[in-house]
Amino acid sequence: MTFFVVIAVLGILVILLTSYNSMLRTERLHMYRIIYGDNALIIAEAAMDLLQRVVEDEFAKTGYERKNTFFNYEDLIKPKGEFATVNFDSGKLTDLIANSDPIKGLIDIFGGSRVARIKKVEVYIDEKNVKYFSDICAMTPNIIANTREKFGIINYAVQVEYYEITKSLNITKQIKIVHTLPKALRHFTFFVKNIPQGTDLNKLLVDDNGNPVSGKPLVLNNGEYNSNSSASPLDCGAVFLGNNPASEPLVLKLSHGSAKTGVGELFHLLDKFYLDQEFKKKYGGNGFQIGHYEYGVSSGMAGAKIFGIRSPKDVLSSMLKLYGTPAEPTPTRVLGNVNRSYLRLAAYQDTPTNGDDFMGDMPNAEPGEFQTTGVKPIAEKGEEPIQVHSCEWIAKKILPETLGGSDLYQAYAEFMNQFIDYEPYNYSMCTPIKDKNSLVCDPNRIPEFAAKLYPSGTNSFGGKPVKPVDEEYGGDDLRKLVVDEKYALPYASYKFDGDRDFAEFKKLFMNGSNPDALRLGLAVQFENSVKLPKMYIEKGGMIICKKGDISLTGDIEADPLQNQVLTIIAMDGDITVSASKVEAVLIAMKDGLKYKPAKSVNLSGTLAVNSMDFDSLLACGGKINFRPVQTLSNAQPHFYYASIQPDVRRWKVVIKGE
Amino acid sequence: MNNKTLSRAIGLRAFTLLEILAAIAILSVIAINLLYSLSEQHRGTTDIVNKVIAANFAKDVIDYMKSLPYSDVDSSFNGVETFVSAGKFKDLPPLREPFKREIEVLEFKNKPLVPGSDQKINYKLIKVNVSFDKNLNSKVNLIATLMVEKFSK
Repeated sequence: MTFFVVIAVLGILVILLTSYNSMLRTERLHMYRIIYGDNALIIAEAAMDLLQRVVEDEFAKTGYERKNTFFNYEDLIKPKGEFATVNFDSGKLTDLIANSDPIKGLIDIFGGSRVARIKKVEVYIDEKNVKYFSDICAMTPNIIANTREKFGIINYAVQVEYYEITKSLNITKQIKIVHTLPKALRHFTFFVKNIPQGTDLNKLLVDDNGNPVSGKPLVLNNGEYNSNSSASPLDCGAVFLGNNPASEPLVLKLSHGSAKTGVGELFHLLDKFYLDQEFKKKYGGNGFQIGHYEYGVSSGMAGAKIFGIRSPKDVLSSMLKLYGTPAEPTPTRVLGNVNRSYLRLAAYQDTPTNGDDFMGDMPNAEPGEFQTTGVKPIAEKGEEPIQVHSCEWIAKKILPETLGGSDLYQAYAEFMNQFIDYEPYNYSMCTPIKDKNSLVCDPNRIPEFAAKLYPSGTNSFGGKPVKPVDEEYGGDDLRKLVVDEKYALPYASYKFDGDRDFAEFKKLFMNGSNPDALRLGLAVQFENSVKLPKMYIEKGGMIICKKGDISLTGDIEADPLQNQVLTIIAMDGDITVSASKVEAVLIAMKDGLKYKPAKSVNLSGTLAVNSMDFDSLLACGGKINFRPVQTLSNAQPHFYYASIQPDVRRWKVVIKGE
Repeated sequence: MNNKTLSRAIGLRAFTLLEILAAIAILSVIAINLLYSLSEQHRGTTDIVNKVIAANFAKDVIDYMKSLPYSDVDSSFNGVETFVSAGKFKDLPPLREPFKREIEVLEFKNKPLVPGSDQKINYKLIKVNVSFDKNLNSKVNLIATLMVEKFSK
């Protein structure tokens, strides 16, 4: 019996020991699993860090050309209704991360690829988590929302195996996809919302050769115009001059130009006589062709009230040269209630003459000389030899026979040198516009020419915008366009206090080998005034100042190879330009703001301001070059930027053990 | 009939001393092995507990260094600290005897992200060894982490 008891006790002891042993073993294995799992997570965290850098770099690569490796950028900017998802190439990403030197180095420290490996990497954006700015934000009145702009959740997932323990690390972050060119305004070279009544824009005096006698003009270059195939003002920057009250049109007097000085508007005018179709319709031609040569005004015209010019006006010409210079002509569309005033010379040609299209000037004559002063016509039909004929003789040929005496002289004067007043500024769009190379802007090449180039006509006060502007502005009066807090602030990814935070801004966006190089690629917001130093734009974006002034203290230049555009918006303050060269879009549209240039402006982009101090402008002049790249349609990807939001409070970390 | 007679009558007989000794010997061998195994398990458990503690000491450093700006993490952190020398991590929980922590920061500049890539990267690997046996050299728990500065081309 004793023996059995001993055996039983020993047996129980063995069982207890075995159980305890097993328990310890299980516990130890469990702890190993914890350690291995932790190590797997450390590797996963490192891989996640690298993955995010790779993805952000992938977004950063989404410059003008959008040559992406891991995803299709077209998927990202699809509009509401078409957007489904954006999947990054998981296989490529997994290979990249697993074979990257940093991760291989890390895995070697943890025991090598025999025990640790990156199993899988995934990045995706789901439609179900995407919201559209057009739905969420109450947009600025009359600004048509761009349904391609959106924000959502980007999901990162990394799976790591370490000693057969697999850990998954998932991180979600908010991502914004925004277009960084300002809506509607990006189509303009020059936009002045409010020019008060009484503002004198005609202060620039030029001499007979078009040289400025006083002051300096603001010359616009709205885009190159030298191609037959793309000869469309629609591809160029537009001009808006808003006046108050709008019922009184702004009248710009045009000077004739000089290629040497670059002052004048010969492009807008015609450099050759052109046939007057209206005359032909009215008088049937009567064997003659009547032509016009549109000319500017100059100081020499002050005495031109002789020779029958009915309304000499004053000869001061506009300080705004909206159509470039004779040397660099440029087309544009001028929106707003703006008229032009200029001199028009008349000419005539006998149709059956030698076939040459040369036209002779209509001779000037005072009333007393009307019957005696004359010129040799190009040819009188059947006349041999050609005779000198008096002005009256010519007048009788081209004007109705019922006229006579002083009435005939007055009618003749109508076709001589005369000032054309209050003609819509875009008038010459109706007739062939020739540039210095005699290339013709043929309206027939522009689809829906009239609809696109002209306001509807129902509103002559401020003008209804025309395409492509009205694809982004839904109002009927551009003077009502506002840039308020809803305009761009929701797009901002980073917020800085103001100038005192600029070091932080530099650390984030100007940290390359070139300390002046700006690599933005998103919208940032400054709460207060900020000074922007010299910058070289490698990647554009939007800098918005919510309340306060923006000072440009150094030149802002764009990398010519990158086609990037920087937009600078002062929501409630001035933009002071101390730089001599600025390649950016400048916007200061708040009521009451006045752009006051302190030195000659040399801007490439857009200048959109509430108002302008034209006296200051006259003192320093300047030049604005529109960048045609700004006219790209919203369907094209070039100025959409995707930015991962830096706000860590939005992070959501999910750790899963498998 | 006495007990002896009864046992014999019903066919029972007592174990011999030899049998009992053999049985005890077998059970002893089993028990000794079990106890040895138990001892080993216990030692292993102690070891793994120490490894967990070591891992935590290592993670303390890694978490701390990852919180620093990239530029502040450099080879000046390289070195050994023990429970008697706090080293550069005075804000972290102190090491206990017999733990020893060894830090090495490896810096790589302008390296291709993957071999042959034109994408260059600056990064640092932070290696942390924590050893904890009495001889301070045989038990090592090695972990590391990665800090990435930037990409460039």
